[in-house]
Amino acid sequence: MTEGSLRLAVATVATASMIVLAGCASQSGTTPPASPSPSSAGITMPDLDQFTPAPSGEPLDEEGGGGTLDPQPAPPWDAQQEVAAIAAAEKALATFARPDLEPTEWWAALAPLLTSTAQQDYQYVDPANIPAHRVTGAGTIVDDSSRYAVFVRVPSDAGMYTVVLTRQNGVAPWLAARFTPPEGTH
Amino acid sequence: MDGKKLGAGAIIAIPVLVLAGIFGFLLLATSAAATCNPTGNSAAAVTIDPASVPNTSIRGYGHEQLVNAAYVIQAGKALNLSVRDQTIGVMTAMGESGLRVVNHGDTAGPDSRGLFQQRDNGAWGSYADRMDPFTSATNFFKKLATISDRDSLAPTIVAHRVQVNADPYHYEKFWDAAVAVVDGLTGVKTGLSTGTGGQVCSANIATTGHISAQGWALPVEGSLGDRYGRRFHPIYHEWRLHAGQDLPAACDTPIYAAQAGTVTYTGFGRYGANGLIVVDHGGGVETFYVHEYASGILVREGQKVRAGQQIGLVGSSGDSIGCHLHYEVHVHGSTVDPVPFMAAVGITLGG
Repeated sequence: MTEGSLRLAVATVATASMIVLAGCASQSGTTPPASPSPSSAGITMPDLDQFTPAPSGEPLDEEGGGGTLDPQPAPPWDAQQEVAAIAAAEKALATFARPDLEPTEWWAALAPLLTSTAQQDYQYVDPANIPAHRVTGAGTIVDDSSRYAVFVRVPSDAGMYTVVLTRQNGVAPWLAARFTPPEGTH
Repeated sequence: MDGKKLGAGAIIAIPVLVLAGIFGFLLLATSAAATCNPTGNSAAAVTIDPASVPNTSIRGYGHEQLVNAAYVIQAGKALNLSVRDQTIGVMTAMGESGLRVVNHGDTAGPDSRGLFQQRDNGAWGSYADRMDPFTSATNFFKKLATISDRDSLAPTIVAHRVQVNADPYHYEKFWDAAVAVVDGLTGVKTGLSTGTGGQVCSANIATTGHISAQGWALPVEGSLGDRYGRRFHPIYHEWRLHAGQDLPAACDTPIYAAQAGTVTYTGFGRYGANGLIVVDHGGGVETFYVHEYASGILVREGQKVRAGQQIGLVGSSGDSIGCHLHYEVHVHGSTVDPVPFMAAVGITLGG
């Protein structure tokens, strides 16, 4: 495609997308923004009702990962969710803290419980270097300021770990992003 | 922004659709080239004679420890490694032994010895080898040199792949002191930045973004490219949502957190081959920053960030053919047009 025909194509599609945009969701330019108000976290949030969210089932282009839009926002923290997050942290640490396993067996069990970045970074760990052998008590949530990331302290026979868990939405599983080891170990 | 830049922004958007599926993975594969290592792969190493180390202290490390650091630096020099590699060696010894030749191990490795706490498993030589600063550093560097892609890995990850210890991120907090010791002992301005022990990019100097009166930040100083809204897909012949606002900017332009929050995702996979950083601001609002290379992701999952804190560098990974930030605002799990959203908090995107 020459530069000229590319520009023509750009102009055509751009015009078409502007027409669709106008008839689609955005209210920009038609509704004056409501005055922002401070939220409980000290963050000034605009009135969210003034924005039109894209509808569920909307096909997404590749820049947004493809597929269709499927909003699954996490609800505010409640007892049931706390229990689930603590259980996920305990399971992740119990699966991690097995220094007597062969590396391949250890990794096969652990990898599915990790975020994609943690999978990349923890795959080189020699489990023989992990000081903990077992979880020795119940986990405690120490930071739940986000509904999508939680810090859980979990005791082990080598000391207290902090397991960082994240999830992509309200129905996705909690995955471990980090096992912060007890003070003095690494 | 001038008209020329607006045009460039529009040009970027369409080929994205055409080429996305075909070339997306190729772009990801080449992203390792963006290492941001100021010293280069084979840059001449720095040097310091251990016998000439002055009787001083740097960052709390005294004479004995600085002499050990000098042996580490010399061992890297003898193997013709880069100053980044040498600094990784000093950082690792700090994280293992506090730069002391210790004659004891720890809980996980009672048989660990020396500057690098090398174990008695045959991989690290004799007891005398492991207790000798120069020889133990040489054996550390010989394994490090086998990691051919180490310039596209964060220093702590490189150290961890040699040490195969339990916490891949352990060494990060020793990086700044290691840079100070290497700079101080050799008298060379290495160009290695502090604060980058957990980042691929060793030359990045963090800056702070422009903050509005409402406390929100401009995510990138870029022009206004392809708008949020439906686009007609030229291959699949279907209208698909372009779920964010494209903000073309030069490669490696700083990306700032739009508001304070928690980093809930970094990396590749969630958005296919597109590099992605997600920040949750609470109250049902999240912001998504797309197309960084691995070297341009400067934060970690779980990290707390401030409004205007630098979190990344503009890249072109995944479905992109030119450097730009694809910026999404999610409200209660769905996307909204970022332009009016940001305008409501005093930020003009593309401005």
